[in-house]
Amino acid sequence: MIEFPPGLILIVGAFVLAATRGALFRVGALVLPALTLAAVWMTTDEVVQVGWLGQALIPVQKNAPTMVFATIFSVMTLVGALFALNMDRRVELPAAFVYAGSAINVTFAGDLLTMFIFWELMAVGSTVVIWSAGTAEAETAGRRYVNVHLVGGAVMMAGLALHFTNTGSLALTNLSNLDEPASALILVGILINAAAPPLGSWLPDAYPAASASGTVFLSAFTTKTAVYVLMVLFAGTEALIWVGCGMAIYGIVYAILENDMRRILAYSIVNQVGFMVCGIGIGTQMALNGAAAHAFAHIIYKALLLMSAGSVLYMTGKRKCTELGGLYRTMPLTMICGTIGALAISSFPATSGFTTKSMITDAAAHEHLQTTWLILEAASAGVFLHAGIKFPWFVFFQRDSGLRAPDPPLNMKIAMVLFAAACLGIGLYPAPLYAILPFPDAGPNGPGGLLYHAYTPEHLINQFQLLLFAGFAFFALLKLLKRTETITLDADWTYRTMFPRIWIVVLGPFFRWLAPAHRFVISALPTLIRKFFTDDPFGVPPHLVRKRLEVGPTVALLTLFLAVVLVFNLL
Amino acid sequence: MSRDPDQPQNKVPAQHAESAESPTTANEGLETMKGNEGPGDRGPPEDGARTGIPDDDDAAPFEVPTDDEPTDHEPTAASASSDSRSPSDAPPTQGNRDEALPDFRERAKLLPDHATWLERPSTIKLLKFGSLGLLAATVAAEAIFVPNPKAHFEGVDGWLGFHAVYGFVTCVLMVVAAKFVLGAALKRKDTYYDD
Repeated sequence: MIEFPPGLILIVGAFVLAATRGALFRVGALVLPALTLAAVWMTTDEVVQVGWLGQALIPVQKNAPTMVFATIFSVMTLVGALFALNMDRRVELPAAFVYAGSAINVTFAGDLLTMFIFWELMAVGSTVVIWSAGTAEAETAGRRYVNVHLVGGAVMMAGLALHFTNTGSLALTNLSNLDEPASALILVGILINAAAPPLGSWLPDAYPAASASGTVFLSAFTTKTAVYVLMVLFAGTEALIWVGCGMAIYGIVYAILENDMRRILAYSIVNQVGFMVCGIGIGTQMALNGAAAHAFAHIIYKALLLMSAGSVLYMTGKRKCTELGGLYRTMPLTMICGTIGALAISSFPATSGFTTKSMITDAAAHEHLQTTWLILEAASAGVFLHAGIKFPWFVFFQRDSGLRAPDPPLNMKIAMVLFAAACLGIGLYPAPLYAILPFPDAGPNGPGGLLYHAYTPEHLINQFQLLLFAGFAFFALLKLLKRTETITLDADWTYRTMFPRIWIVVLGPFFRWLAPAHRFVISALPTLIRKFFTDDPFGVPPHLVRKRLEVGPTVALLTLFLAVVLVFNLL
Repeated sequence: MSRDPDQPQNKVPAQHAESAESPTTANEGLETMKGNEGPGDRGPPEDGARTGIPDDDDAAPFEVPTDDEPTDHEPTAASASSDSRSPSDAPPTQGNRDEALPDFRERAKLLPDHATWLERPSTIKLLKFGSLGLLAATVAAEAIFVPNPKAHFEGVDGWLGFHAVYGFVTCVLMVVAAKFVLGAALKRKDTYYDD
């Protein structure tokens, strides 16, 4: 019925939206994501093919995890737009729509090239979202962000080109044989977007630099699209188990030390995506279902947490734990919603994390992966410590900071309440979510039976013990956890400090030292040669001397030349 | 698209209605919360079902403030309302669209300082002991409802209280590792990249 990728509604609509103002803008901001959600669900299993450059591209194809990811991406865009509605963000919102639409189209792509095109378009949209915060911090962080993603895109493209040269096919297949250089390159490109350390320090660097609403959008799409692509191309790759375990622990340890509330939540994205990556590495049907379900739940509760943090930032202008505290008095709704998000991320029973994330840890136990299971259990406890308690405690309780900001405007409140209800809804009645997972019939009861039973007495008691004693550890060690006005250096230090220093201290002086030799090669040497080979001591006659072109015209000329080559190529 | 102008006006009377505490009680409550770093946060407090976890010195009286507290915010209603809301203290805001922020701060002055139920010493005491009881209850529940816990891995789990011990020990290890290994090596002032 729908013969175009549903995300196109958002991408094309974004440009129309950018041209509108006032009420029309607000209506469009809500209608476009709603239409997209409808289109996602109206798309049939029919595969749509388009011929381009001699290749058969497949812009619409439902892969196993397509529905769960495309659905939550659309819902996220709708509720995110509602949250941003009062802030009149006329650049940010259309950019976020391009970003979200591209993410949705990645999930519908049926070949590697289509996937890559929308993958790169996401980088463009998300960078504009960061920049549209309008601060100097956002500008520099956005520049670093786009550079990392362009490098990641180039690595992935190199892998895709190599893969195409080797196999002659653009089809989506399992690439888990990492002895192939092509597969390894593609995997590195994806892991950069998945924020796997040490390639992932762009995430805590860039996300907290965006606006209150921008961070909400950013938290949803890039890493989860990477999870989707890993699921399609790299399910069952053993290396991903260890990458995922590393991410889960790394996110906790860094978040424990962090002072900026949105950076705490940014590190906890890495931690949570670690669970998903680990599930994909395990690669069984239960593990993949768990990873997909967890991605769905994660987008909701992480957006909820960032909406809550964004509301605090919007209303108080403060973002550091050392400046916040005691806000539960005047921002009760924000506190309740933030706490529900915090409980959901901690997999507290009755919340969405409990019915989704547990599938991954259970899959590890089922496959007898003892070390993996122990790390995931420790990380589950650590989530409660670093995000589940730490975020609400330092922002809403802790001490009286003197801040008396009220709850945010109505639209922001509605957005938070909607997602808080979704966190509880998935926790209490997960069957509709289980029905759209990649393998809905993989449960112990076979087709038609409930996919996963989270609420067994043993599981409930184990989870309560794990979490409540983690909470006990938090309050027992509260003195160690007291926040200071510090940051903890991450891998982005290499390109923010180390490379510039190497340039200033080592390479700069070295090149200056080489300057005389360079001058000799480009000016003195040709003169000498000319004098040696020609009789005329004054060189070329003046009418034969060509004028040098400036940089601008040279670029224009090159572009024109390449355009002509391209046109001839297409003919 | 501006913020709803009616909202704070609706809010203020409601807040006044809640603040029936005397000033003395208010200050005591705030002092306690600050001094002892208060109870745990496991759920919405307003429904009365909030649970708490004691800090490491739960034998100490609740009214004794610790010495190493930051002193930038005195927890009295008067100073809180005067020092942290002066226009000169207004923080850099997110982008130029949030210029209306001081407006919120002006309106926020109308909201009262008050100690809630949550901040009373008796409540904090209750939460501390209640939460200790809850911890014990989770282990007791395992003994009662799961008499023969199934081990995922022989010799590792499957004994009474495994998840309690494992959750506590791994969290302590992660905090210690973060603080004394990673923090010691990589912690810098938060203006590090600005210089």
